[in-house]
Amino acid sequence: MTTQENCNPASTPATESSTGLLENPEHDSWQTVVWDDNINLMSYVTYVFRKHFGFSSARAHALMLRVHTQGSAVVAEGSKREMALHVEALHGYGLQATLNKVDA
Amino acid sequence: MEVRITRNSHEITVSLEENEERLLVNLCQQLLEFLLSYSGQGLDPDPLLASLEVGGATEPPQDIALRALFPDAFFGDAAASAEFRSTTELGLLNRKAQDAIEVLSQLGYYPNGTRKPPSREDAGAETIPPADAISPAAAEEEPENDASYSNRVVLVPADFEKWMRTLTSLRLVIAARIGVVSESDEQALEARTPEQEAAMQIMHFLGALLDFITETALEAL
Repeated sequence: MTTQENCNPASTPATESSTGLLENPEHDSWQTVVWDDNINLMSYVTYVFRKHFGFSSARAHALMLRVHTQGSAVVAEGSKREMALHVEALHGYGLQATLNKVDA
Repeated sequence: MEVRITRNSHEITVSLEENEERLLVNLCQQLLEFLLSYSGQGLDPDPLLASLEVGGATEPPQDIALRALFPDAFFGDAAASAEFRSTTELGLLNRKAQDAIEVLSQLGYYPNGTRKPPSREDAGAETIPPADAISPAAAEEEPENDASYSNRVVLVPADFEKWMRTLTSLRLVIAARIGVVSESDEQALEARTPEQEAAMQIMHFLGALLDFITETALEAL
């Protein structure tokens, strides 16, 4: 039940699992976004979400479906450095991922 | 191709026909050459050393297949993407190359595509002679019937990711090369060239193996 996905840039997302919430809200907040590429298997995307982020089966599946049906999904939020590490790891798995700055 | 799983240990036995073995070895070898020629390196990449190197590429690759493997990290920001690329691309590339080398090794081949001499002591090579087939169906057959499979590889969970990543890399590159956008695009079916049709069959083959390994890996998590 996370609201990290597709959060309105003008508002602060309310979720207990975002590490970004613990930071000073005046600091930049960044997101990791995964994009649909029409090639990667749904099972594989789900596996990467579970393996890399440690998401539960349900959460990984929901995020994968969001990527598949809406074209993209926010999968993590936090510092720019944390997001860069996630994006690099996701590229390592063959997923299309970008960092996105959340405007305060 | 036949894939069997040993439930408790999550080991996967992949049995390949000769043409399938040749295809997979050929594809892995091409991927390896493709990656290494882009980075200008030889056949012995070290991911750790590479990730410490300064001076990776800053421009996105011209080649659409390489862009699929090494996408821009910042949507619409070329400068930030260039900085990210310069610090990560070489390490990513070498890890993908290393995965392909290890898959080739498990199939019983050197990075240059030549077959390794059969050896039980060979690190990573897990080919099993037909007489050791573990499935009940195979046990009922004469050992000579298993000669229909030219290659049999056993993957343990520690092997799964290198195979998943390599199969994914191959699918991304093939799709980019042939211009296949979606396997489920009905309109595209009529418009496919023979070359695209052949590529789609390869995509299905790689996808089937990838899906089986992935589902097993998910169960093993």
